Amino acid sequence: MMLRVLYHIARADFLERIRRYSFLITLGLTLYFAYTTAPPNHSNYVTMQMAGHRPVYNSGYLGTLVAMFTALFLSFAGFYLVKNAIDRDARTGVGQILAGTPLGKFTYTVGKALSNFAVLAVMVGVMALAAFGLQLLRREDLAIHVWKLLAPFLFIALPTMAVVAAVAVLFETIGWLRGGLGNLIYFFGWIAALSVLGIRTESGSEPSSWWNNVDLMGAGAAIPALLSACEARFPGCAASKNFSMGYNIGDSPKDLTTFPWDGVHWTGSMILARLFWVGIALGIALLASFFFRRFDPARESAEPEPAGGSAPAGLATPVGLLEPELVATRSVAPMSLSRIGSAARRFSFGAMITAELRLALKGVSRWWYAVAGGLIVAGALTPIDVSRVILVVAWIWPILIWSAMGTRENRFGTGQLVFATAHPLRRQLPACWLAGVIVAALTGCGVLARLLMARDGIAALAWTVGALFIPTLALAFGVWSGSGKLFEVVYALLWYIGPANRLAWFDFMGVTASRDLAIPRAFLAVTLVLAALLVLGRRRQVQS
Amino acid sequence: MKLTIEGVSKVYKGKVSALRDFSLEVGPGILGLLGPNGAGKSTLMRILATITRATGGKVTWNGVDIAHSPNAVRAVLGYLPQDFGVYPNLNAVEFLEYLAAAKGLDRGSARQRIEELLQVVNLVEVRKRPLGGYSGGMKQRIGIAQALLCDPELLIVDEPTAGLDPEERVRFRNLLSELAGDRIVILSTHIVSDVEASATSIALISRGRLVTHDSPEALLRSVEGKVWEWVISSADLPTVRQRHLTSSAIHRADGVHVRVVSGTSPGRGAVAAIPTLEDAYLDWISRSRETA
Repeated sequence: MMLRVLYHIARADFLERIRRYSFLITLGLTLYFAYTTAPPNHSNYVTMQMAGHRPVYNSGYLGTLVAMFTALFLSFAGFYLVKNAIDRDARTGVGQILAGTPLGKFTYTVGKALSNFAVLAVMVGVMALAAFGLQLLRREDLAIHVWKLLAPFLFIALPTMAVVAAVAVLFETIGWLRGGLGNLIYFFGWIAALSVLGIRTESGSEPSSWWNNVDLMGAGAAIPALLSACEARFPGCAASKNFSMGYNIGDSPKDLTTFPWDGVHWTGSMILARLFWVGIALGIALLASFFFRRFDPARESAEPEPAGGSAPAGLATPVGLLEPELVATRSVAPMSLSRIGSAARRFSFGAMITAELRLALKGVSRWWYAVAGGLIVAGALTPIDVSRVILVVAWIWPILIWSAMGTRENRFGTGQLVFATAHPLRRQLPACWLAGVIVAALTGCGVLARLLMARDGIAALAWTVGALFIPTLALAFGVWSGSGKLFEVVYALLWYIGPANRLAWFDFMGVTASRDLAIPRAFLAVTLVLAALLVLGRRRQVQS
Repeated sequence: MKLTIEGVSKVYKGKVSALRDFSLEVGPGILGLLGPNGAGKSTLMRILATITRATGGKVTWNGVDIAHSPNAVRAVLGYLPQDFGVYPNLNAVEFLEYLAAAKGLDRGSARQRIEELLQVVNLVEVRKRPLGGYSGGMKQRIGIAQALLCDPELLIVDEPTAGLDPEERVRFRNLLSELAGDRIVILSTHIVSDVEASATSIALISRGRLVTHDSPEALLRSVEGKVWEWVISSADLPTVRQRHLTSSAIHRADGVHVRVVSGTSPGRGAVAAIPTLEDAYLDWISRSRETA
């Protein structure tokens, strides 16, 4: 009986997701991603190399390579893709119906985790098909070995997906992890997991070690074997510590020498180590059931405010908790309304910006303001190099305020009220955008003052472009995706690669102190393109 | 002040036709738009409120095509959608202030108006409470308040009494009657009693088409002599319902008192009754289905 219920919970949710047009687009993008994981020689990038060598593109290697990238890619993007199963039930009202049935909390959370897993498994399947296609396309070894090709997807990618599916459910059941804060925490957790993976890969412990295989991404099962094979063919390969996995892009075509390797020889202990993660996933789904509140608003710890502020009082104060006398009171109300003269109908852009700013900052906690204030002061008073680092922090701090901006009407269902006002494209949209710019300007104003004191005009220009770029990106992504998630993920990634890791071409805020004006110019151009997309998207929303 | 709907049609994705060649001319007063669920009322409301574009025909406000110049109507529009949301962290005053800014109402007038509206919709005591804690009926009243913020010339309210308790329902009907004087109010509903008290004209809509548009009196006249009250046994009720258009059936000690709309007497003992708008509505909708 329970299995039947589980099946139907997972099935309904799964069908609801895959019958969307956007899922087809997701599969298309997955296919393209798979295509990029195995570049031919003479490409200007490599995805995996060991001291300038790589195995021949045969079934064993392509299966392993694509499966490892699948685990990496889908453990990141997949989480954001599936982290909406419970939210959908809450929004559609189906949750309220389910809450009135005998359905157990554990059954529900496991069912949702299964549905998440099924969606991710479809994507893993597409990647596996792509690996098969790549072998035919690259033509380095045309002997197809189905098991060698598929086993890595089964043992590397799928257990990782099971954990991602369960973690997504867990995040949805815990109030403060449900929204943007949870998205950011997962992002930084994923970065941390990658760092651990990097350390373990470098340590190069024995592949047969059970513990060595117990890494979430599954690379521990494959990389030592790959290095051993490389070492056998090219002595010194493993000892050189010159191993890289990821998109290494160069200016000139790269050629790697190849060697035969027929894939991972899966032993019982290796498979057991991977199954360990399936057990962990089940445990996480069980844990989620403890936090799951069966859509009871009285017991919900509400989603955190943008910018990590206090919980929305509205959700924490259900109707039933209103004082009875207030609900019951009937004041003697006048039944007529006075007329408003045409003189009173004067649109004030200032008032609109104030209203948007107030809406954006509503509910933000005092702690948020305290930290923002500290960053402003520190940005203005510290040495210029430290001040630049402070800007990096200052412009990640309001990320949840920005991410909420473009999605508010969709999220709260106020679109029909706001878009039925006069000139929503000329009035409300620019006001909302300017509110975002003001938030950027305020949080970064200390650093700007420091840059101006240091007479660093180029950095000040880059700062200005950054302050325009961020809210434009937030609004454009929000309007087109209907959720703040896309902005949160893309912005955090861009922030991590560019300003945080000082990669100049991704540094949209000018903290790398590059003298190259081309970078702010490029970001200004991107901002203009995003602004055009934003207007188009909002026009589409205003008149469907 | 004139709103003209000329041959408007709306086809959604999947070739689902929600409105077909719908034409109507509306002047000051309350127009009650009555029709069964799925008749196309909300689609028409959204087109009039410039939220949705018609796929055919045109709507003009004082001669201006609202598809080409939507702001001509938005500037004077008060719109209460059937489904709408609120910002849960804002309280009633803050939410109305936000929309007043968007609607271009100056600060002083907005404050005064909001106070007045909160009195009218009976939310003064909870004005500082976050909207997320409001009941469905309270949210509906906030919706009514925002629709009236700018003293609109054109007020479009879609199922406005949904979720209101009987007392608030009556208050709202009275308020609409009060407001109707020199403005156009379009009230869409499937509840006949909502329009019975206040509508100056009624448009019946079924399957996306206009069935008829007339005054309540004319609609009542159209069923004069066609409404019957008849006492039958409980056992006969299914047969009567199958054979005749039945607008009500009440079980009493002497049998079931049914109200039948029929061109001829439905049977022995049936007595001619004074028609109500509900009888007229059922008769027209039923006939439109037969001819479709």
